[in-house]
Amino acid sequence: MSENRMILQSSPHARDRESVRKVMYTVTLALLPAVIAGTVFFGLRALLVMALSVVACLIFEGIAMKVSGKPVKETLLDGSAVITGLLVAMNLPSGLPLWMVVVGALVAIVLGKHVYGGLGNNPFNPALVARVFLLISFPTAMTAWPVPYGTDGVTAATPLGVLQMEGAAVALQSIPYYNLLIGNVGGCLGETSAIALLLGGIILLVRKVISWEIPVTFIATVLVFTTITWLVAPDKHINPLWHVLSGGVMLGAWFMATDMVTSPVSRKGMLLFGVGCGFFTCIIRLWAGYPEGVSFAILIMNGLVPLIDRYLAPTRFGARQATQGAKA
Amino acid sequence: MSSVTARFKRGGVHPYEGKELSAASELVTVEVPKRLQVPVTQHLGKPSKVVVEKGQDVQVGQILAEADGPISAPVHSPVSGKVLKIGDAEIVGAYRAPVIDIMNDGKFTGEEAFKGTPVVNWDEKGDFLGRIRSAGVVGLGGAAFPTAVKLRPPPNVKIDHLLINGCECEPYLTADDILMRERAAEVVAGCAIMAGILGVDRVRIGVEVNKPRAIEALSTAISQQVYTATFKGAIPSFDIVTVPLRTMYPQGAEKQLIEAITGRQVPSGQLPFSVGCVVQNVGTALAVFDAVARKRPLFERVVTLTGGAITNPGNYLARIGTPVSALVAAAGGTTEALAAQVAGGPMMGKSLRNHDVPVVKGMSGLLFLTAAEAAAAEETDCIRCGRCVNACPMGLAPCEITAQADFLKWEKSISLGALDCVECGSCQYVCPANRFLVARVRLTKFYSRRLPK
Repeated sequence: MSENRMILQSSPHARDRESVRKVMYTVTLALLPAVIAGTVFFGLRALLVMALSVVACLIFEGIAMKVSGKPVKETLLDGSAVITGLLVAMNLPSGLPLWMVVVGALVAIVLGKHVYGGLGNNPFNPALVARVFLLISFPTAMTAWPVPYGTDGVTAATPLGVLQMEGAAVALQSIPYYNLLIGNVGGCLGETSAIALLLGGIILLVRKVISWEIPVTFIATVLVFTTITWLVAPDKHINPLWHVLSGGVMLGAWFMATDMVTSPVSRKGMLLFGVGCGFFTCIIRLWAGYPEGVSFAILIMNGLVPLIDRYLAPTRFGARQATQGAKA
Repeated sequence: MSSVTARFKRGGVHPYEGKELSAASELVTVEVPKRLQVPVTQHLGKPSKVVVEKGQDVQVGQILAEADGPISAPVHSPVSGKVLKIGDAEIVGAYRAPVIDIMNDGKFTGEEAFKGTPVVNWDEKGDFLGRIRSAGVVGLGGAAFPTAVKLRPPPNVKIDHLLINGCECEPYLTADDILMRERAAEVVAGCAIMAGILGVDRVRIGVEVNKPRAIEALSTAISQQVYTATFKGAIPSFDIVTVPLRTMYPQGAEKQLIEAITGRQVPSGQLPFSVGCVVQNVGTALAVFDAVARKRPLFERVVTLTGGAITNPGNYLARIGTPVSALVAAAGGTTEALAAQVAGGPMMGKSLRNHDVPVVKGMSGLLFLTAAEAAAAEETDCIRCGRCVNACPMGLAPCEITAQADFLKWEKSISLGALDCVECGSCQYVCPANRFLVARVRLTKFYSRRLPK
């Protein structure tokens, strides 16, 4: 028995089988239904945007690793850049000029992630940083929404755009729930199919990559908030189901807000985080200039995570007062 | 057994149990080697004082080192023979510690005195605590705190529960299991003795449900009053119950066990006394019985040898001071697959460098693990997944505590609860980034002792 062959480490000496890589590839798998839905409705162009975004993210990730002196090969394959690439693409219209897609990947990986120190250290969701950067820089291109099954260059408003411009009655009449559910509407290429995103969300829940707190409180808050506004002014505001199925709520609640790095670590914190995401989404949708508010809502809540983690830390064992026996 | 079995309320993990490897085989007595190395201090507390000299002849059970003050424990000779050397050697947990080398003459002179019929004479109850102290009994679950100290609570504290820890929640280990199965009556008698000393009647023996035979043996010993066979004099009445607990690590951590059985939470920084409880391990209960009924000092114990890289996994009865190499030989040696060896369980045990270290009172097991079992991995950056937060039975956020430690912010790490950490390892067990969370908490604890108060 040679001593130097022995593993010497501090306890524990056992680990479960989870790894960062497994977590990341499970998320990729969970995104697959939405990838397929996006390709079905927005064609090969959508697939091209996704592939380009992933490849660009991997290249920028590799360069950033090299520059910051980190092991390129292992870390590149941890899967996080693949997810960032997919999520960036899913938050873009499928007709976006390809060079803008590359700019988005650059912003996500470098400005969104590596300037803070890489995976685990970024305060804001990198894909959303990229989306908001592109939305503010190229507002026209970022709001040119190709029609599902449409030919190149034909665009139309998103359901939320219709709602903002033409009111609830027109929106309800022109867009059936069925289309919202399967994703046969205009929008970012990965956000339109509620059913595909829900399926992905269930995969994440079952595989325990995420817990229920953030998505459920996010969606529930949107439901409650828009139920109230709908009941108060049914002619002005649309019903809660329509709100939940349209726009980025599903993609945001299941895949963007649940990003581990940029969400709270405690269950109590996650509950508040989800409520905050839903709340700001509704505020922006109903009263702000943009028709959709999911990205901004999540980014606002990302910024509050350090505070949430501090003030909603888990309840420590023994914090409850001892009830018996302690009396002398 | 009820379908909803009690457990601690928060956190916890369920690692591969691995108990079947060592649980089935019979208890094997390890041949006493020619030469033994007995560490002078084998307890948590003030170091013991050596009372023998080099060249001196000793008998089995003779005091080698005596307790120094109230929170200390004596150490006895496991064999008869000659003191060869008093010096320093490597032991588990220390590169250099004072040890007494003894040459075994093979005669076991003096051992007869401890082999008579055991008698627990309740009319001598006032003498029990002294016998436990002078027998050198310490907590055999691993912490090795002097048992007599825990049996004498401060005068202003009212104790209403004696909890006996038979959880053996560490994966792989079965040393407590085999004692409960094979020596149930003596274990329960030991519990009764401790209850008598404390003046409580309520005794609860907590056992995880993955040890059904142990639960059955204890329940039989209790219900058929087998444990009272050795009792004489005015026997107090006892309410002793076996409590099946859910198999969930760390069910056997002191505070978690108290919560599972009584529903009480020991406040941060306080002892079980503060909620009216005293917790003792089942192996300790047996040692207490031996000390009181046989006046037999603690000079041997059961050690589980197990893991995928030992030829004959099982439980081995060994004298204190026996080198690990003798136990390994008794178990048929290690295999080629050996990649890591650990003294204790996989969750809280300490890495072993070699087989030269001796068996001590607190050594519950020796693991010989294959590379797959040992699961060593490079650590990567924290991805804030929160799995550690959900796993922590103490309600802490290990990722946050250790992030502060990385920046040498010890005060901040302490304010986040680092000192409440019981080092159970659940957080690190689940960490997908393989972070050395427990080591960072230990570092914080180390620096906390140097901070200005």
